[in-house]
Amino acid sequence: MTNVLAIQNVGYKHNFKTILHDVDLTLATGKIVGILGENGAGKTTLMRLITGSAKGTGTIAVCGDTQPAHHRSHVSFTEQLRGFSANTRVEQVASFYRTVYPDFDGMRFEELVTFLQIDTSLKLAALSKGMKEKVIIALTLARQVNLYLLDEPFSGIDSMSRKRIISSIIKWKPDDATMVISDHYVSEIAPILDEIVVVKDQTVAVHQASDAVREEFGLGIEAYYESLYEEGVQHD
Amino acid sequence: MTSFGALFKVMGRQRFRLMNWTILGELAVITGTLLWRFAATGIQGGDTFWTVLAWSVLAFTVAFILLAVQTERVYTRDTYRLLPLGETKLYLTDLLASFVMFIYFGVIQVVFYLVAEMLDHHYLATWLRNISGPAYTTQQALKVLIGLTVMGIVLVILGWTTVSFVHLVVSSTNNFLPATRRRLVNVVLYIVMICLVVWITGYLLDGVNHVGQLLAGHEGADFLVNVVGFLVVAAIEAGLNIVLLKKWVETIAN
Repeated sequence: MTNVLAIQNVGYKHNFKTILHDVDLTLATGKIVGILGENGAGKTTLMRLITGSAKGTGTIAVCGDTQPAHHRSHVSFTEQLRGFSANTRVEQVASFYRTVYPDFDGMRFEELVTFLQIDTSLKLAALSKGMKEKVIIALTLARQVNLYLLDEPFSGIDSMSRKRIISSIIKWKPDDATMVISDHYVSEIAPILDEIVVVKDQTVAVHQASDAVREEFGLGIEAYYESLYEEGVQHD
Repeated sequence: MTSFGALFKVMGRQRFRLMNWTILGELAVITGTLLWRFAATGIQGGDTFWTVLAWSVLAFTVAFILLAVQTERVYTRDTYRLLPLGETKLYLTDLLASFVMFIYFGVIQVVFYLVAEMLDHHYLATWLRNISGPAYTTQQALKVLIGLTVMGIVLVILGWTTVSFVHLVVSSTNNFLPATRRRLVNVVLYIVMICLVVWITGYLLDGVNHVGQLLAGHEGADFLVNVVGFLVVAAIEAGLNIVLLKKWVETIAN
């Protein structure tokens, strides 16, 4: 099995504050990986380092490419559409994506729009937080890439839609692609995760297969994740 | 990878729309001013031309600023920075898209001037006959006009590369410095940059003031040296901007 992502000795500081250090992580193709961690643990930063949006130290290879410009042709990231004015309609955003991303699949986007019940004639300003997240999910998954980075994709989405999206994520993920999801709804995403990565103490503290966690520790993913923090408290 | 054509298309489309809104706004204030004047004193000879010219100067400034904002936005937004292309292509396409749209805006302004000139032709012909100043032949006047246009275009490019340079330097230093020192450094940087801009602007304006003399007085070589000099400065700034984008400038986080 080939690796889609290889991170070696990556570190990142912002305003003299260490956010991440000594991060080593290798992800195989075809997996769904959950990135777990407290608020401010560095999950988003890790994703931003992979896309090249943040500048750190160390080496990051996506599909063997170490150049950020090349990473980006293999990676689809849930960006917050800040480059568009509030008056831009969803269909115009889709048109932008269709034009600039050669791997953008218009048919797939239409399917996602139907599935997520998005009204593409609406302006971005008119979208609720949850609906905007749905648009971002549709845009991100409509690209045909090797690595999907979903950074808290379900925030603001109502619980029913959230469960429906999570249960169908496997359908939207190409077989040979890897999907990395960071989320606070650990119990909801746990059933679809092949692996978990826990970002703690400014580094990757745990990288385990979900099945191994269940077998080895006899715990569910959420209970195991919470136990990591309880252990930390005990050690103090 | 994203092609130059695709990137130019999306960047150009947004800016084209922005320029059209600016032109519409300009037309609205010109019409408003003329209507107000008509109601107050009646339209006199020259009113249309001078009104168009006055608002056009302001509209040019607004267009320059709006395009600068659009240009700068690209550097810190994931929408653009996540595109599968290198920073050099991103930077140059961004600059080119703004430049082309500024030229489009300029062409529309020339159309406005021509329409205004047609309406006030008699007044302008009399006015031109009566003004005192260096006696240019038609050929010399044409050279001066072309020279001023070229100089204007070069200054716009230099203006944008300078704005980007300041923005990207500040953006880069913001990542490294602690919050308190960051504010101090930003203040110092802005002061230094404002002083630099004032100094450079003074120098440039001095150069522009001599364009007429240089061109009309057959000193085209000196003029060319000035233009090339500004372009070289712009190219150096552009090179530094690309390095800053590659190495240090991050996007605004989610």
